[in-house]
Amino acid sequence: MQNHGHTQILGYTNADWAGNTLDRKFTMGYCIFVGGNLVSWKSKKQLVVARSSAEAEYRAMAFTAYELIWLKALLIDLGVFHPQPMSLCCDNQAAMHIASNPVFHERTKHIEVDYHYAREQVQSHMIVTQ
Amino acid sequence: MKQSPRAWYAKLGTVLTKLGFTRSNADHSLFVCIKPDERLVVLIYVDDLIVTGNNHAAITNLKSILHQRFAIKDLGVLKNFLGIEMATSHKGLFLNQHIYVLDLLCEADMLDCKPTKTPLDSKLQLTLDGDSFDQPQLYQKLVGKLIYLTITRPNLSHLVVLLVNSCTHLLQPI
Repeated sequence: MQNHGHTQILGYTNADWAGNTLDRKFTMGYCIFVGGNLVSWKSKKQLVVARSSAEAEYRAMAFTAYELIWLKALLIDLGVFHPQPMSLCCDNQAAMHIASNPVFHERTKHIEVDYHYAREQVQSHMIVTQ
Repeated sequence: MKQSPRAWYAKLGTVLTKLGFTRSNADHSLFVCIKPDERLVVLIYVDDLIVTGNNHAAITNLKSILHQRFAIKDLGVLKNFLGIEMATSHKGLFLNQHIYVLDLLCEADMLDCKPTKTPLDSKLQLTLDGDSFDQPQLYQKLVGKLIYLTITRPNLSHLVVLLVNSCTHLLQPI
């Protein structure tokens, strides 16, 4: 842990679509930096099968959004507060469009409600996708 | 007694709340006391407490108050917490699990193995072919220990997920 002179929260997320050859469930991972220090990371095989790589990435984004919001709450409790939105970096354009654009689409209609958490956070300007 | 952890937490929580601490909603084992000139943070793990803050006198004061209420032992500057070793330097704080890794290697009888720089081949595909391992309990135990190791080793987290997945297949005879 080093002091880099800022406390910006930055999250990176990724998912391997149908990475498991046995049951085709996907594994997602994220890592979160606070002020340039890696503080939180996870890799987790998910319980659901994603029908597209965008869906896998979108679910991974929702998962990372939970952690980002929690981390922000923890930092506020510790007395560290910064009003600018947190950044969430994702390498899938489609997933970012799903998150920022609330259009109902045939291929996203089956994605469950709680996974739209990422979308809600983007719309409330808590998180900015990159 | 079954209720004792809860009773202990309630007692410790009451004492800290009376001292002006508030329990963090993000983590219930974290107590924070923020005043204009000082900031104190207490992290609890059962009966181990980490106290930190920006005011040295306030920390000493808190420790003496806690000493009056409980039989506490001051271990000085934080060096070891839950198997994680902390090294402080002018650059910052360094967390590692050196002793934990050595114990793990000793248990797996791999102390004389060669280390590799990258923990995983990116093209690796695990299959269910081959003979089954005759000691599934040992495997599960080692995987459990590796999961704990990922809290200071982010580069291992994906590898451990793959090992855990194999663990679930061990439980289900195919």
